[in-house]
Amino acid sequence: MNNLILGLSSGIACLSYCVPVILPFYLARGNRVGKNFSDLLLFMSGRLAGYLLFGIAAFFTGRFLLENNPYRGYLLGGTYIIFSIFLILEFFRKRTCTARKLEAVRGKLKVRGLLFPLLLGFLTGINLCPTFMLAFTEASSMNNLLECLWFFFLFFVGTTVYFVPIPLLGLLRNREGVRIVGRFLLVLVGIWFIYKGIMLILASGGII
Amino acid sequence: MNKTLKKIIVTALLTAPFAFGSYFVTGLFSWRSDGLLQPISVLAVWLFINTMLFITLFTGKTDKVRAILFITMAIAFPIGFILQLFELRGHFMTAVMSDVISGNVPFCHIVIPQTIIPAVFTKQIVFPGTMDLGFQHSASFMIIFWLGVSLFIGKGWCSWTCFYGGWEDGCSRLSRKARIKLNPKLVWGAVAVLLLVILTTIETASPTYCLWLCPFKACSEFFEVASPLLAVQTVIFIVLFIGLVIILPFLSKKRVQCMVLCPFGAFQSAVDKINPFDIRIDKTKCLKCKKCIKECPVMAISEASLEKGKMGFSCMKCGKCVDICPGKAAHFHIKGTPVGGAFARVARTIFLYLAFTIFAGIGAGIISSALYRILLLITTGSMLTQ
Repeated sequence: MNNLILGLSSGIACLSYCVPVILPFYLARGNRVGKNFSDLLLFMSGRLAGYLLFGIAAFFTGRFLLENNPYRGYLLGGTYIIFSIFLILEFFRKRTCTARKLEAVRGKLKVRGLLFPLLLGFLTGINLCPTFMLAFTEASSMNNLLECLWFFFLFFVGTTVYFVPIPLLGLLRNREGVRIVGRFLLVLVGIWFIYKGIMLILASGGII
Repeated sequence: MNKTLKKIIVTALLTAPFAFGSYFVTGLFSWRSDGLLQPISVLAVWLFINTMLFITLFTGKTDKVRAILFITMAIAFPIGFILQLFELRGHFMTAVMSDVISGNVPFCHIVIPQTIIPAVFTKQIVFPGTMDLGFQHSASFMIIFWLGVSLFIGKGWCSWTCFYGGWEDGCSRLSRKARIKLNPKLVWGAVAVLLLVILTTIETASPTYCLWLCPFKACSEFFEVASPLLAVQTVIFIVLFIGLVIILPFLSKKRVQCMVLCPFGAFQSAVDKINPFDIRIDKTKCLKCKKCIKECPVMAISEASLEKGKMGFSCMKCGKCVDICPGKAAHFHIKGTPVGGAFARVARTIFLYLAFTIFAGIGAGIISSALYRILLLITTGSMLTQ
């Protein structure tokens, strides 16, 4: 369930910041809703590929760093706390979306057709934001590769929920509110994961 | 006939149907008791509520009378509730965490979103609320009651029905002017809390709001502080109560906890769409004085919403803006009807009937229970029945 929580918490923020870039790109071209959905599908496929790649990386990182490690609980707990603090600091940072940066270099890259939505999705999918790193930490504690991939798949689902209505345009009516809720949620989820990190450390130390 | 006398008669006639209905709703008709204290308590509360409705209809002012009822209910709630728990348990503390998870504590409305939404996904009720304090404390009663209230007055629950809200409503009225100004963006805080509470409830299969965030533990029941973790939770409850329910409302004249923390309030804002009432601004009469923006206790009015003639999503239908508007531009309104004029008077009257009936249904029991304990103390020297 953590994967969904992380996905949903960063999904709102991601949506509210990235949509103004993604939306004009996909929708302002005057395509029909069906075409918009197919573009979105390509974009999401790219993102999923990025997420699953991270799932594999998280598994091997976990194998390398955490397996049979007596400090496993401290390491995971500490990582939770550090990335959670970064997550909370996101509240104060003026965010820009990877998609925005990519849009700026799109002309230079001269990538067109089906490939660009796919590439855009992949590159936004491997965006190293604190939420993503928290998910990475959580996944690296898992025992098998399939579990890791499933974790990142659900994390992807959590973030994707918000993107589905994009072609229907309706969600942007109150973008300011969505963005504020997203930022508040970053702080709250950060606090939640700090709590989890502390509990993990206390449990490792045999205190609770 | 004297104009005032005529107005009194018309108001009395308007109050009469409610007086008849509330005779049943308050339970006055069905009391079974050997002593006189219980019927005296219920009768006094019945008279109190009817008098308040009469004053509301007679004066045309809503918010101050509502606040008297609302604050009385909030103060009365811990008196009756804590003593009832004390008689049942021998102490007023929840013994262990598993009591909460197994539902061996009374159910309150704030738990509704973290009960029904996770239940949809997980098919598990994380807070059954089955303690033997009567049907009105069970989850099934509260959810049915909530559905009914939501259909009739929607988000009006937060100003007319919530038995906690009166604490901060009262504190927000203690100072004459606001000493601090809050950022209007804070109204979105409760939505974020709601999302977090739902997601963490699904993850942990436990009512996380009750375990970690509920400031009203401070005026209902505590956990027994049996571990460092429970001590931390208890400190959180007390800090949130003192900070968000007492100090910040006093300093800002806003209902801070309701806006920033309460997941039920945020949930109710979404549910509000299904009820027929809202508050609207007649743009042709608006003087643009912005008094309503300054005075709204939940920051539901902004310049943008004034332009649209509609309230923001945090509006609790307390009626304060309607009362204070110098241009008489703010009105109670039934969706789909014209704003203002005779429609506004009809909308307000129907809304008041519904709100007072709902208040009688839940508040009368709470206030009469507290009054009964006070009368018991006066006559026997003890507030306990056993």
